[in-house]
Amino acid sequence: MTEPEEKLGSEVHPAATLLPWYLNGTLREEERQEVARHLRECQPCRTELDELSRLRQQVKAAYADLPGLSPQAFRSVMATIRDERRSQPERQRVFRWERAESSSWLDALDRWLRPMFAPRWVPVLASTLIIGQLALLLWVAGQEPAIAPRNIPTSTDGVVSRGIPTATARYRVAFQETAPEGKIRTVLHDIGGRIVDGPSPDGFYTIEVPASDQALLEKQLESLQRQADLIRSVERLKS
Amino acid sequence: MDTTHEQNIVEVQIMAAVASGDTQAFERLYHVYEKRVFQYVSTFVRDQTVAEEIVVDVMVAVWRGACTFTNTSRVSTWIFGIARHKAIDALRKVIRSEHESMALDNVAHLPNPAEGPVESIDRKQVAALTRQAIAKLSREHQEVIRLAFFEDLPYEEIAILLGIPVNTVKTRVYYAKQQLKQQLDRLLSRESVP
Ligand SMILES: [Zn+2]
Repeated sequence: MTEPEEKLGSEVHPAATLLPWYLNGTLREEERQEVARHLRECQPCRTELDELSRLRQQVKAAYADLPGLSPQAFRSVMATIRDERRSQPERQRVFRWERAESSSWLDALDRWLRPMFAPRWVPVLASTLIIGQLALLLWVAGQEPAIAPRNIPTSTDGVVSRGIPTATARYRVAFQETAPEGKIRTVLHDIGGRIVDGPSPDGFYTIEVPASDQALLEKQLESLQRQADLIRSVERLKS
Repeated sequence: MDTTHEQNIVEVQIMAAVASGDTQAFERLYHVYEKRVFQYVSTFVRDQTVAEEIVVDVMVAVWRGACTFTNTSRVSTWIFGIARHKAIDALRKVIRSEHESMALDNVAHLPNPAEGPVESIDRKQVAALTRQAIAKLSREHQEVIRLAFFEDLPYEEIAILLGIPVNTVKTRVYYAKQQLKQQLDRLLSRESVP
């Protein structure tokens, strides 16, 4: 790489660097308006936009024409997952949480995925949580002010995640091995929680809940601590 | 809300079904992504057989990891993230054995320049020329061109995927586009001269 990628020449208008996303329609509304305003006043950027638009079409056509995968790949994937589904109940599941030493979240992600661990109830639970989270996301989208706050990346054990921009609190929870998934789901539903991390080697999950006020969180924690038949251990994480 | 965002909402629902062990939902996800993942992996790995093996690997990882998807990024970013990691792993192995530049020109069906002068350049030829131009870019530039122009990912998601600052994404795409234009101009002037 010989291009000075980290910085642009002073002759480049900041709006010009946003044009690819102006075209693909993923700019935040505030940014989009800013670019539109600049375009009305700037002939060079309008030329750049035309050029980009043409190139974008060409790139789309170039990739669209490329061949895809062989049907054999599909059969191979499906055979693998069907095999796993069949053998899953007996499979010895080992999960090793390796602390990410690299700063790359993808490395951490891969380490996390490789020794795939899933207690019986996790898939069902996760789907419930994702649906819950989707509802929350839609709710947040509805509440979003005109200028959306930027998602601040947070780092948990090397896994960088971008949270929904709302006040949250986190618990560190270990469930009893005998806890039925339905009960666990109910608990999570009651507190509006979702699993954001885990399990750790000792079986702990990080659960995020919307944090409205401290008193409510205290009550929530107490009620979780009372459910000893389901929850082996629970503590509030310092944010 | 942009259309890719709406698409993501649908995909999040599919992911939830996949996480619950729904193989039909997985098939749906597979067909939405197979070609895109294959082509993305091809920007790293030249060998098509290897690229295909990686995609199989990626898709199985998607199935296994669906329950760990926490919706903190788009589904596409999450899947491409797995693909990128596996592709780079494979690339390291290839680079160790042979020093070759990684390009996707071998997947492009390019017109043979020896076929004679080109009177008019039709859409298919433009597409072929564009592939040829893309193949001349650095791997980093090929990747961001694909993610911004073809996958229509927001710059924030590209930054997450590549693990680089958003400003670097903007700058990189800016220069990648300039390079692409230069390469295309060069190829087009060559094509139009008999
Ligand atoms: Zn301008």
